[in-house]
Amino acid sequence: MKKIITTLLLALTITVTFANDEAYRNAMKENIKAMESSQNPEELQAIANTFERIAKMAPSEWLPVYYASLTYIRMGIFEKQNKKKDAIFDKAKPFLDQAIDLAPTEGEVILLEGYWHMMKLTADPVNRSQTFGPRADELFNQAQAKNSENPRVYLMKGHMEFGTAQFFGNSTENACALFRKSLSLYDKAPSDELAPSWGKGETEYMITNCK
Amino acid sequence: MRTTLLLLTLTLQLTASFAQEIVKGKITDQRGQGLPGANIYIKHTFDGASSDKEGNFLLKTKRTGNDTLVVSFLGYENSEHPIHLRYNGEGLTIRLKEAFNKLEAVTISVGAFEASDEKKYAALKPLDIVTTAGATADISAALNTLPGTQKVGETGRLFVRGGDGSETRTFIDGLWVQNPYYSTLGNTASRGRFSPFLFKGTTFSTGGYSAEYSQALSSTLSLNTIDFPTHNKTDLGLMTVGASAAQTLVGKKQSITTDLGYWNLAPYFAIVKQNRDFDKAPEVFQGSAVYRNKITERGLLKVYGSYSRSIVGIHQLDDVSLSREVPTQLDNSFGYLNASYKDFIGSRWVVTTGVAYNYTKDDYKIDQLNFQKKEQAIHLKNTWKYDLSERADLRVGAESFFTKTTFTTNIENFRRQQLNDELTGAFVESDIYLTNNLTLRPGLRFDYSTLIAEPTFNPRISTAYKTSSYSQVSFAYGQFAQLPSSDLMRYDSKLKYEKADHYILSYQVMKNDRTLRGELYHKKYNNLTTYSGQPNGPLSSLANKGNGYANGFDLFWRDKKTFKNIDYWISYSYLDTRRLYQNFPKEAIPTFASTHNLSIVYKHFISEIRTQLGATVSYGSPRRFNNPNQEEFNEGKTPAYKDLSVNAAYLYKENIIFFASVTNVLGTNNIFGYRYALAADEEGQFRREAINQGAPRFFFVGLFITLSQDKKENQLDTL
Repeated sequence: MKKIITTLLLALTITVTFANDEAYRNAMKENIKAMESSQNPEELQAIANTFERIAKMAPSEWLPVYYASLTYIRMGIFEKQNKKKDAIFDKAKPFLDQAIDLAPTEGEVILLEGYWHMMKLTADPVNRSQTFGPRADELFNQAQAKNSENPRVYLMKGHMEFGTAQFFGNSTENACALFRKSLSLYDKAPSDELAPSWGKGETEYMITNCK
Repeated sequence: MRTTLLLLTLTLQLTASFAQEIVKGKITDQRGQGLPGANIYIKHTFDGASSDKEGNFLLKTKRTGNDTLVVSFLGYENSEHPIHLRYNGEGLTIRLKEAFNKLEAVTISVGAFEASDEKKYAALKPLDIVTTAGATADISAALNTLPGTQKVGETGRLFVRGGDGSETRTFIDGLWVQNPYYSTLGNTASRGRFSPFLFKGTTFSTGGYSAEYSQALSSTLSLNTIDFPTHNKTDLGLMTVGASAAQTLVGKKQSITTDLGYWNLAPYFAIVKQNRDFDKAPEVFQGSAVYRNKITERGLLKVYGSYSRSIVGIHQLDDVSLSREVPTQLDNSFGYLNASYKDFIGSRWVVTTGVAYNYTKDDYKIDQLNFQKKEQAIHLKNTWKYDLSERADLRVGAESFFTKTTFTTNIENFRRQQLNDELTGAFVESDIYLTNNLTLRPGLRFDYSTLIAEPTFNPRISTAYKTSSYSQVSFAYGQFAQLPSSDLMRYDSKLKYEKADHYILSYQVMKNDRTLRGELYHKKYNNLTTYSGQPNGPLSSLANKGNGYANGFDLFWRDKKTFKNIDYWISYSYLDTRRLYQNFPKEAIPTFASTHNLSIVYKHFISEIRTQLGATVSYGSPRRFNNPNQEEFNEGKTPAYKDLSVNAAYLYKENIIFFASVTNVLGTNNIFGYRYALAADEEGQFRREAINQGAPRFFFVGLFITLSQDKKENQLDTL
């Protein structure tokens, strides 16, 4: 009997430590999926809060704070009231800063920083186009240099190009070429199931606006 | 074996059937208002929930027993509560305390207008200064549409709240600019020497300014240059008045921008008739360089240098009888060098050290008289800022001004005169954030001039109280001292400091892209310089026997929301002022003051045609002038000042902009005053000449191109 209880306890202990890692991965997977499929700001706020909690449990990991920031950016995008967008993008900043602290040379983090600048620009284009625009371009270029096969790099560059072309009434051909290149790179499976893999749906949607 | 298996299955089943514990409650702020989106969780677990629109939350967890509940929400202090999950997990109300955040704390805005991208409560953005119609990208002209300023069109300078133009001082990165305006002749409006696109932030104070500055009885204009450009580019400008070119090169730690400009109004004057008789249309050559070096990780060295040369010649009527045409020429050389270094030491100290060198030489030829005024000034300054605690910081600074002014003429007995002064200044000031809603800023200023060998101590205090999350009340009191100008000191170097006391009360509301601001002020002047003689001619009997007062009310309303894509602001100033100074026989209303001043600035971006349209309407009530043919001093009244100016900027391509502007579209003949002859004519009358605008209207057209690695950048900021 004692042997059985010991074995049971041992099994439980192993489960517990293994559970932490497993729990972390499950929680991350679940919330990444939820974040990618939600367009509701309230839902996204709850998901961002969950990533924040996961980040507190795994303080040396850059992925939880990366996703917390990304969730806030999405929340700002889907927020209907223009007045609130800027404040929501500001909520993304502390998490972005933490991700930069933890992984300053990680291409996806650099890209996220560019994404943040691009969204802040859209919130106040007249006053910010001269400072945030060039900074976003610079960061996208840096991310491209880190990994030229990252589909999100071309998605972001495509967005910048598309927005400018629309504003000046120019052809969106360059932007569309970037979106198509982006799409072709999504079919490659990512290295790790928790690594950033978002953006395919968005790219497909942008291509439908192309001729 | 079967018993073991049964035990195992039972244990597993029991584990599975453990009910979820529920924690329910509400998250609110100190006043009981629900907070949505707060993060509520069990410490050291993933188990958590978010609060809904009303602040209510429902947390499910498999844990039981004693634990800690944590609540976090941006802008508020984290809150921890011991909790027993079985027994007291329901009906919790947790009030969060607002976190003290210096960025959110109330900043004192009394008596100052800030144009900044970074400061949250700035009423203006740097771009506003350059897109204001009627200003043609001149900083002072744009600031003249704000309350507290007077329309003194024949000078182009800032006259603030009943103060003379000499009562305003200009600083770049905290260092003094002795002569920020181009020199002009014949009552022609001047403009600022510095391009607005050099600056990332501007603070225009209309009174009660910081103890960091002194030697300005009325106001300070503080310009802060851009920290570091983002990438290489070439800027070209082709205008109806000249051309300019600038090149920016950016490296990892260093950057340099050089620019050259040449302006010549002769072709323009040939097409558009002027009121003045120019025999040499203004010709200006200007060159400058900006250098940046990130010397240490957090330290930045900024160097700015500028050189310009300008020549203008007109025919004007002589001073004595206003009957004879006299050729007058002005040849000006100007040099300015400004170097400053700012670094952080540890987490609590910020140190700034800087030096500025000013050189201005004005060569006048008036008929047979040659007159030269050469001014040199060196400004050395050191400031230290120390974070005493999260709620208080201390700023201390010391500075020296070395000025040397030389007057040279070809008149016998008045050949050469030199005036040297060494002024030492020091200040201490503290920002005390008593709460998130109440800030106090006491300060003390000390100056000592070796020329008059007298010290002066000037205390200052200001405070702001946040009445709601978007409004504040603030108050400022300060004493200000200023040495009389070198033009006066040359006759008597034992004059005393001129003094002014300011009392300002302000209320500001900023909500939903609309700003409303009202300020009441009282200024008391003492020891103003009085003399006998005419302002241009030799003076005698100089003394500090003058005094005066200025009371008034300023109103500012800005609305970026009501009309789509339209941004407009309205400034109104009411001024009641009298003073005894210069050669006034008694206390009177000075000639630069007008009781009512109104500016309406309108900006409209039409995205379909990618054009920004702007219009400015200005009004100034009649100004006084002294008519020697009349008994009473300063009894004459000019007509009111009226001006409508328009501009348009067309974004042709991402990096090409067409710009056009017209000032005084309606061609109103604004008269700023009258120049009277010094001697009466045969009938005992003094002849007069109206002081009016250089021309009814000023037309300007320009094409601006930016070439850079990133095609999208353009010179929208420079217009």
